[in-house]
Amino acid sequence: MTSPDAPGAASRAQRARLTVTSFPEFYRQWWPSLVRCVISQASDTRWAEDFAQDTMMAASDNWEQLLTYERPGAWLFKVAIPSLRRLEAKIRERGLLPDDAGSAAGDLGLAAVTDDWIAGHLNIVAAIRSLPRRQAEVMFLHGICRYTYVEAAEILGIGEPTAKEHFRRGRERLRELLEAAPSAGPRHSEGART
Amino acid sequence: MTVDELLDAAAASVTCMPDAVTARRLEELEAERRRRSGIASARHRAELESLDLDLAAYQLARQYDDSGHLDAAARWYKMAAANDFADARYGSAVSWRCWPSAWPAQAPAITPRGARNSP
Repeated sequence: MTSPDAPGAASRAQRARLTVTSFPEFYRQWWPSLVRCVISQASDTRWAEDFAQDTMMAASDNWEQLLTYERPGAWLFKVAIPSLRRLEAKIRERGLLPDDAGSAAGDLGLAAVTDDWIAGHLNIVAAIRSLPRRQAEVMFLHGICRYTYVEAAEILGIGEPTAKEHFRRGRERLRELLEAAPSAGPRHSEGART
Repeated sequence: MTVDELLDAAAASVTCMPDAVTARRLEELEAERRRRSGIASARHRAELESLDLDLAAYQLARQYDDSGHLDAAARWYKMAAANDFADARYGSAVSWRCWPSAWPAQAPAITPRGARNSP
């Protein structure tokens, strides 16, 4: 796996900072990662798009402030993930959501119908959704969005060693789930490209 | 494929989406923004700001935890854990376990299995 600490990852973050000058541009750049992150974390994909849209609305409301941030894209995840957990905690309290939220992978097919990226990477996204919440968060931020451990830890409000440990455990679990499976490759990932 | 290869493949295209899809969603956002009421806007802002309270509660808990004040740490972890913030639930569990006097009064006394109940 390419290290997230490699120049590629660093330059992506730097590029994000240097090129974003307007909210529509910011939206086009970050919407795909944000909505796919929420889909990979939410217990129910039906509310994922609306939830991601709410986060973008917050970004729009705070746009002037966001422009002053080192990594405005990271702010989205910093808001979306705790907000999602907060919402799910409330729903779970009312008994409307199973406590084992990560196992709710059944409705992923619905998201795959409208998003080619989800369809193309259904196995890995479903496996990430089956992980414990913290592992799933670190797995997406570090493993897919390519944030460094330090950045992922900062987004999630945890320590760097904790983030590393969540990732290590998550990857072990994904190996158990996917490497033993007969067909775990992306199905038609080219379809997700523009 | 290995897990690392699957993650690499997913990472390579996670930012890609047809322009028409993002443009449509952006238009929907703009439309929603135009028809949003002042109350909805204020509620949205309050929810956003309240996220900082969870973070503050968690950070305070960590400081109490580090300084050995486990009873106070447990209380603040509990506050952050109410909204499932970071690993506050874990911190809360550890603090309560390490600080028996902070346990709720109605909690039954726990005797390790096999230990003698001395008077």
